[in-house]
Amino acid sequence: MTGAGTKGTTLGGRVAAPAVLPTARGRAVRTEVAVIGGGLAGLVAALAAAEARAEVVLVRRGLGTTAMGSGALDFPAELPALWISGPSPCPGPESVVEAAEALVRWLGAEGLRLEDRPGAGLSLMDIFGHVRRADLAPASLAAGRVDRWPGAGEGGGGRLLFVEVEPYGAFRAEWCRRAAVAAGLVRDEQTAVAVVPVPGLEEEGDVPAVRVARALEDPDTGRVFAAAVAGRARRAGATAVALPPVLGLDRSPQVLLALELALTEAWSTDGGRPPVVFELLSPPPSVPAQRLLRALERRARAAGVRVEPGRVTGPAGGPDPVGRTGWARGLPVGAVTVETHGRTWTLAARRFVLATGKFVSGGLEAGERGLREAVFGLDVFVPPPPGWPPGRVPAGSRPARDLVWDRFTARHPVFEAGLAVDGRLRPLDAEGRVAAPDVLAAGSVIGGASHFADGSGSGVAAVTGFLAGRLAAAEGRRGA
Amino acid sequence: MDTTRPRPEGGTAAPEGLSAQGYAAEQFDVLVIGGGITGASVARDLALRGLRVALVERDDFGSGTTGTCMGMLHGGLQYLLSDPELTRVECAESGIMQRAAPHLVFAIPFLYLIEDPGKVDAYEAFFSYYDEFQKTKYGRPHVRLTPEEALEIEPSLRPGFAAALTNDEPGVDVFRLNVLVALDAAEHGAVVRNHTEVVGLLVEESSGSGQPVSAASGTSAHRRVVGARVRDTLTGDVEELRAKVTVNAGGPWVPRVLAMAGLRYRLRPTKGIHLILDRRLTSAGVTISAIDGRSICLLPHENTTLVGCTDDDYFGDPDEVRPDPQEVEYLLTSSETVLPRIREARVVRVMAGLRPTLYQYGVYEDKVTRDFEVWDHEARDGLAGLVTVAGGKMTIARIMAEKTADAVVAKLGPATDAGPCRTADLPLPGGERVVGAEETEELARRFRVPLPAVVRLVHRHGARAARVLEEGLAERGGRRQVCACEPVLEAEVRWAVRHEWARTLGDLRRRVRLGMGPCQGLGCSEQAAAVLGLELGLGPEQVAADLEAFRQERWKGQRVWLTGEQLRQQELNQGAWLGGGALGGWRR
Amino acid sequence: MTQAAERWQARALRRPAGVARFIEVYRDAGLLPLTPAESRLLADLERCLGCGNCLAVCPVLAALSPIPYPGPRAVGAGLSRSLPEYRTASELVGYCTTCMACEEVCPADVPVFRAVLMVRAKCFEQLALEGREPLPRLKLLLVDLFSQGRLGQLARWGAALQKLAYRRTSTGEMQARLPLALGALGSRLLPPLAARPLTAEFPGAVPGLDPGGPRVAVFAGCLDNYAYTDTGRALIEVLRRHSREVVVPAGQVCCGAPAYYAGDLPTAYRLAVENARVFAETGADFVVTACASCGDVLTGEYPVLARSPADPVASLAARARDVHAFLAGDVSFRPPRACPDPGGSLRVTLHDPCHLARGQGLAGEVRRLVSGLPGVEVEEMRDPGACCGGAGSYALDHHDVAVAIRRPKIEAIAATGARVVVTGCPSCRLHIADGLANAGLARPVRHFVELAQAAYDAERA
Repeated sequence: MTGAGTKGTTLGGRVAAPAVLPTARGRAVRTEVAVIGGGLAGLVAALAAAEARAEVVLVRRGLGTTAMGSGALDFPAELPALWISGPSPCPGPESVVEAAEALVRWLGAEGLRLEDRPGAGLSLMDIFGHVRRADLAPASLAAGRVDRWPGAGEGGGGRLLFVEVEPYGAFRAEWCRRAAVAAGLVRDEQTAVAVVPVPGLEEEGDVPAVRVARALEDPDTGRVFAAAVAGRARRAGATAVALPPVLGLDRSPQVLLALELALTEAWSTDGGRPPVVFELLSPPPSVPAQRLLRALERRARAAGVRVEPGRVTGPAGGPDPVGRTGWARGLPVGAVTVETHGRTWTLAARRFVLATGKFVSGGLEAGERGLREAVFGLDVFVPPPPGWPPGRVPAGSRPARDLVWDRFTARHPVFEAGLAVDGRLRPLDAEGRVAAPDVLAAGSVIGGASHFADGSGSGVAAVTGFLAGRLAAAEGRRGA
Repeated sequence: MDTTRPRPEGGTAAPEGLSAQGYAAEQFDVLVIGGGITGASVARDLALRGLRVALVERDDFGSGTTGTCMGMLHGGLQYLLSDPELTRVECAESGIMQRAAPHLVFAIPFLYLIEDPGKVDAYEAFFSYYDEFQKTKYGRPHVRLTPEEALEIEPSLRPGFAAALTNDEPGVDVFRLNVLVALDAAEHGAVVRNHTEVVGLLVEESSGSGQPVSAASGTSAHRRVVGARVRDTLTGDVEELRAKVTVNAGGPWVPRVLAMAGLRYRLRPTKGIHLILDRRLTSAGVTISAIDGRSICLLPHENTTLVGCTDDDYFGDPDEVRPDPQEVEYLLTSSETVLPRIREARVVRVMAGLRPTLYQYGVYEDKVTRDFEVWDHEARDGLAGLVTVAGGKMTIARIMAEKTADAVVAKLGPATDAGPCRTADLPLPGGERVVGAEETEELARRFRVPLPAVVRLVHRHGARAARVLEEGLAERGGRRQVCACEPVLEAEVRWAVRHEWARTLGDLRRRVRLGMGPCQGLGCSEQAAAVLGLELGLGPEQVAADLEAFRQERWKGQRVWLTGEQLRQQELNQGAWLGGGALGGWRR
Repeated sequence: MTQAAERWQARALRRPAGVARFIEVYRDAGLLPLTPAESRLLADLERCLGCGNCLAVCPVLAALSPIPYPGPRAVGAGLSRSLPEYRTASELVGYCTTCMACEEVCPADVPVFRAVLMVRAKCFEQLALEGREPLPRLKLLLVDLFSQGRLGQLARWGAALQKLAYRRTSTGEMQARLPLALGALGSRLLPPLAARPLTAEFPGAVPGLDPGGPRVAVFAGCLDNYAYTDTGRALIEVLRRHSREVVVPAGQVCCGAPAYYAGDLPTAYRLAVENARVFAETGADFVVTACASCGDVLTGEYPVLARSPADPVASLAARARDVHAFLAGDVSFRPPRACPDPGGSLRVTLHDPCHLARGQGLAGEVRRLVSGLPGVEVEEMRDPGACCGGAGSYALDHHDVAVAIRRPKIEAIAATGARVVVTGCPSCRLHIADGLANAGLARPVRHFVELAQAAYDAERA
């Protein structure tokens, strides 16, 4: 009955009594693959493992660093040189393609269509008028790629309408418009600005994006809003409409559909194509990023992954269900201690995937005694000092301040820090030995790349997560 | 900060009341160089006396020494036994400042921990004596506490002391104080400019008869300073400002200004750093005996906690002052003895600045005099038309200004129609009356803005808060929250740009505390930049350069102590700034 | 100082003389001492990065209600930064339902919702010291109603009156006979006030069926003591089978949740001390409750209120259990052998009260126990852990928001087709029942122990 244990909570489906579940008294949960970390890497690993028919429990605190991003993913066609050693080289182009296809498929199943492909290099504008690069983005963002703007290319006609949504305060349409013109992306006379209020929120001075997004999910509010946008677009003769990213959270397809319908209706009298609607990017925190991760988490639950909130505090010490007393380097970990809402429980698994991220998500910590990996205390590596041969060196006790440059915009070595792993994604210690044979690492916790400065974070997370999930499933399945 | 920008198209580039044409034709009575608390106070004093004054500040008001102090209007407690007259004067000055701008002032109680049970009564007598002096600075009476009571007020103190006595110091927002002083000068007719650098003094040779004679004639001549050549650092415009008397109030840059006239003077600048920790962690301030026996303190200040400061000779370029990890360690090691959990706290920024103390040889840094001097260079160096005010400290800035202004008026001669000094009696803008809690709540209701935002706005603008809200909310979007940590409304940002000479993000930071919270600008700097750009009609590239400079300035104060939460915040901030699609990034 | 002002002042925390003097000297500056727990909390709040995960899960922000609630992030990262300004946030923090969903998705383990409690407690103290009403009028009335033991009187007189104006529905709640006559309040369901509280119904010890089992005392909780006595009876019945004796001490008072969550810490502590005394006298090994909110306060908040580890309040906390935790962990649960429904099968759906699932970590146990009942089939609703909006007295003084929060919950229940909704909190029960009835989807909302009791009864038949 091992399968039943993971099929605990399905969306509206029948549920049989699960085998063992977290309790207030500290009993152990046993599973085949335990994923630590609920960001992009962790969720992809969990989904990949579940698809490979393993029983998966995912423990997470937040939703990872990607959830704090813009919702568009940086996914190069070729991964940067991570600190993955061993006979096989760093995940090759086939892995990139496979992971990307899986990600597109999973999100597609949740109604979120990702556009373009690894390495596509789309240029997307954000609400402050900066142009940002992404490779895979949800359709509502990708539709705003600047190479398809009115006026892009020679002799392009059309008009781009920037719609400010009141009372979402962060987006000032006029400023964004000026930035777009100044950047040469569109001519002044091809732009227009409109302000549309969200019904029901008129009394507010400033409302977070999430609240606007939810308000627009109400069918009546969404309809009135859509009609107003359509009216302004008609008046401006727009061929494209740029909105801030507030078009729904979990039900954004409905909100976008309402807009589409309203625009189609507004254009129905004169014929001609209604304008394209897209969302601008916003810096963290953004609604599209939340959409993405929430959708992925829903997908994981639907695939039978048991998602538990909690913080993994370390390897389980003391006599545990697996019969080990504490953990020493080189031996399998076997079980970890989890703290959820102040209560602790034990999670035992045949394989663990450590997808805890770098500093933002708490995978790595910077103390006054240097950098450390937060869950198992695994060895952390950093780029070598200037003048040394390339590669990696143990972080030792160097504080983070010694690993940054004076210039804010420089590429700081500290953000390349992380674990070194072998060809099977097992973390290595400073002597190059496998630290724990049942632990695999995935995502930005692996060192060698600065996820944002190298424009590769989402790609690394997805590809290494995918490989880790598959490997963990193959090894962790009982009877494997 | 030597950032040149092309002249912006459209909008008002120059602040209200100034003509872009310059003042070449005008003859000012006084030109004051340096817009810190001293220079601004001098300008205010002279303007209030009815003279025609120009004030130029190279960067922004409070961007020098003034902005790096720990923000208290001390009452000279440390001199009570050795020099009670000085204590009396400082208490009176503190009281004058508080009356002039009551909205900017807040109470900071200090806990003095007394180790030796035998000394408690003596200390209490000392504080009772001080309570008499404190009355002029509206100080609250001391309170004696048992160790249990003190621990109840501040649970994280390390036990082991015999008793605690509380004392009261007024805290103040120094940046706004500085701006308000300059504003008052402007409202009384002074021409005030920030981002205006003196690139050279205008020196004329003259014979005893007063006729200008060329140096080559060989006559031993009086030299006379008749003004300065100034350059707007943001637009690049250069012009000449002529004045009968020029006052050098450059703080640490006093010697540099004098060098422009060929004079060689030295100060003995000492560097001090302090830590800014996020949020108020304690209810009271604590004085701590540091590892080298010096006195440092930890105190709640508005919505942060300050720990400082250090005191070391500085021989470098005043423009390149930066904090050192060793200094941070000094402060943390020392404060750990009193507050064991200090290392867990989030250091949001390390602030470093220079005290422009007078030159003294053979004296320990801590003991260098905080006194000030007014130098009449005609008497000292045969250079007429130039007066320097050097040394001193913020608490006595008004007195420094009064003495300097007296010297200036004397130089201007008996024919000058100058009134008496009025700085002790008149309020600063917004300080005309006290705005109480009920009125604040009424403002929140009337303008339909959240009460927390109004309270902070009233703290910054006092009696003028209603005007700020009226004007700022007259146009759409005034209720938007540009900064969530503080909070700051767009209405207030607009006011700062239109009426308080805010031309860069750094200026905004000093006016409304933008980016001074834990996020260090992640959420607010882009928004503020957009508002700035729209208000001033700036182009996106100019604003982008300002954004980068602002973020660089924030980084400078953070990279020296990058642990825990700060590194995490930096990863997010850097990612949002630089990164690829997932965390935002530049088009390269 | 007026008499009213003095009265308010008396409600603030008692402080030693020196501290009181300090507070008095600095009162207009709004300075108050921080407790050690608050000090630690401030350090924890510093970890906030402003990522906004919490905003996406906050039910108040998701509710379509025009209120100026800035969300948990604003409270944790902004409004709690400066103690003197906490009082400016007093209205804003009133909107939080204390559902703790924000803490579940915080990547930095920031105890966001605790910031709300801290701001409320400090606001209460500041306003009380100023001689002002420390809470909004309605909130104060509700807190006092529960904390000053008047519920008993209200129930005694109200039970009879209630039968005149209200009728009992088939699902066990009270519905107004003439709703229009009661205006806006007319559509709301009420719990059935009991003429005799549970404590009066069981004055002596109830012998248990397991001579080797523990001695158990029942903490009824105000709602189960004075209204949903059926639940209380079912609880005793179930406990009887797993203990050697069950007692329902008469002197027990409100657990203090309404006072505690509103920031009235002195009242909450007073009630905790009283309860500690009453339950210590019983000599019971366990103190078991069937109310999720009471359970969370007893097990989770009494340790915070306790002045020291030796405080009897802490001792009560250590012995307290929610009934699901007791049955799943402290004894060997003997499931009934019959189906609670006479038809032999029953489809139910589970609503996880915030203070049970997040507050006490009891979601798995509930499912195991419920699906262990013969013939009972659990059909999970979408997002069973989402807050229902009841939140104790919140449904009373923030009714519109509570209704807006509840809407998706009602839809989710309807979609399951379940005949019975099972939930471990009487406050959730009332609010959800009200929602179902108003949507024309009325069905029984019951505690697990009621199903178990029905099943035990069916065994005998």
